[in-house]
Amino acid sequence: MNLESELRDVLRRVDPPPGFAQRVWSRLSVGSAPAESRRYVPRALAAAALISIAVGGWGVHETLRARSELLTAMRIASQKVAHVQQEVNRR
Amino acid sequence: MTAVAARADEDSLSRAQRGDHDAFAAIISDYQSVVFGIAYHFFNDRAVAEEIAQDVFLQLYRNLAAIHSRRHLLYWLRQVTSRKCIDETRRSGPKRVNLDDVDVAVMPNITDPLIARRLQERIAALPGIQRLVLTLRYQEELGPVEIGLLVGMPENTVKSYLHRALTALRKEFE
Repeated sequence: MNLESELRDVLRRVDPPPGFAQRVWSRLSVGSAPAESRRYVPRALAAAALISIAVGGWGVHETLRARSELLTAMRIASQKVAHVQQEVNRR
Repeated sequence: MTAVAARADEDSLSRAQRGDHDAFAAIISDYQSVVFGIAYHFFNDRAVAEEIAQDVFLQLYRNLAAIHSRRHLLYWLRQVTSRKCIDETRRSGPKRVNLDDVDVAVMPNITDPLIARRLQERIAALPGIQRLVLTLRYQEELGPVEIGLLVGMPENTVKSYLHRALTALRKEFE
């Protein structure tokens, strides 16, 4: 027995039972997949816009907060430098 | 395939992509035996194979726009079917194959129905991944590199699965 040739016979392509394409169609019309996925597009776009606004807003807020902290730090540092300079001048 | 036939095939693909139902029905008709065959040889169960095959064509319908040629279509169908078979086994656990259900009627060219039945029983008893690799090798006539790309494993792993499956079958039949 030639195993390889028997395997080609046993493992040949197999047709599904008759009416397969119609059964696929009936599932397609029930699910109407592309229409279904299209329905979610506006919602997805709206969600993406909200997220980007929120992330953008948060980014602006963070930048302003960092700027304000930097200015405060510089103000404190310059006060300290001025104070040290006064002490040096006094001695 | 002649150049004219190839062009007609590509036409039916692009018509299906534009929403032509008849063209999509023609695609189902052309490839149903590839998809159903892989699933049937994997599960040895016509009902499960039908469910898997329907799922594959539903997924194809949703992804038609991403298919750029008939060659790509065949690759896509083989890959999605193979991976669905593996996923289904992972999800529901290995199915116990009922050897009384082994269907010799799907092998019209076989010389000895008894040998065919025994061979199919032995294939059904192999681990799922070996069955899948064997099916892609002998049903689809693919080499280890192509099989590896489809199922996502290195060429040497595919060769090893093929070797183990063939050794197990040879012990019984040669």
